[in-house]
Amino acid sequence: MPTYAPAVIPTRTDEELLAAHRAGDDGAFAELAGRHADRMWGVAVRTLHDQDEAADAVQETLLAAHRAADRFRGDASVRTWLHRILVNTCMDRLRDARRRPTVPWPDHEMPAVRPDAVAELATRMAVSDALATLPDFQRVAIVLVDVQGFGVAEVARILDVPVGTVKSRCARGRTRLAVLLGHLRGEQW
Amino acid sequence: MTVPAGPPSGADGRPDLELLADLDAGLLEPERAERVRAAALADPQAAAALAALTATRAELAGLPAPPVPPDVAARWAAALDAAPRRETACPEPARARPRVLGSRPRRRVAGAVLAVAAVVAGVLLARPDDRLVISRVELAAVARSTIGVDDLGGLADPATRAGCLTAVGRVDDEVLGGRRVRLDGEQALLLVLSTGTLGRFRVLVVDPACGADGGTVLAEQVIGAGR
Repeated sequence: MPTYAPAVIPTRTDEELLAAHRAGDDGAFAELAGRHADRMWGVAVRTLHDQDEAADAVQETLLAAHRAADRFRGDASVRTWLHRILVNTCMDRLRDARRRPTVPWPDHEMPAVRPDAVAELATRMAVSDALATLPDFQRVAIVLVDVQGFGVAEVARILDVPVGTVKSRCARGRTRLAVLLGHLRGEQW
Repeated sequence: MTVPAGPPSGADGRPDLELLADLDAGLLEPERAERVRAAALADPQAAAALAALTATRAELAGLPAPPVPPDVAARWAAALDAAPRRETACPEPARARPRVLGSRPRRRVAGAVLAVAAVVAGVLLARPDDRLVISRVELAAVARSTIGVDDLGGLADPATRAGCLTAVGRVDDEVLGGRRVRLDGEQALLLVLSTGTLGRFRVLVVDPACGADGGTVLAEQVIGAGR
């Protein structure tokens, strides 16, 4: 008859995995990346609104973190550190995309109506499309706080801005989204 | 602001939209927040604006997480695989190339891989050649990526494999894949076995010495569709 070992789950922390990676444990970084890849993908897709760009951004982030593991000082969590790299990568890509007018971005059809006139829209927009119309800084804050559920303090560390700035970007972004999504009738204000 | 600014707070007793959004975002000092909230609740339009912001946050929170496409996960894995390796502090001895799984035709193994639709990104990111460090909560995820893998260690030998399966009471099950892993810090062998039910697999983690002389089941789980 088979015998069963006690069900102990010795899961290494993110910090332990990163330390193991630095020490030469080949599988440690893959395990770490696996833990965070889903969430990073969500952030990248919602921020860039383009799957190809998002795939490149996450890949670039993973490779950068893989290379720069020695520079992780432990002043933030590994998750915060990874997302800081990711957000910076996404912002760079957004800037680059705007400098290349011949490259369509995003690849889906953008709403033809400016947000100013959006109160006249008969139909409400899809959430992801509405997100895409926000200014980059507002969108990133909203994606991290409201969509992904990060606390404002962690988002402040990720974005390297004061907590009040995160809250303010969220407040402005939510107001605009509330109109776009049909919850708020803009003409009343 | 794209939304036209309303009357400033206090002009007609109604907080403007920007102030309401600040309140909603927790930007106001407690005392001021109290006053603005009281004023907002006394005004139907302001109260509706607060409700709209709440509904917006709820809708954002309800946005489904987009799944990582398997080809994207595979691309990341390949990129990490190609990244320069770090020096190993305690290098493991070079391993022999994994042998082909028994006499099973490769085509059939590939078919089994294709049958597994969902691929967990975290598992894909692990190189199949490495001795994967796993925890018990990851058994199902690891199993999915193990189907078709023939890193069987000592069980690459058909007689030893048959002996091991007999020893652990799984004599009739087909081995769909296996890989050397580290579970609870101990070297082990993870096997994915058929169950006779389409889409259901049995994950068995056994000690590396498992064979005709006996074996120890370190972990076991049935995964897949159905009950």
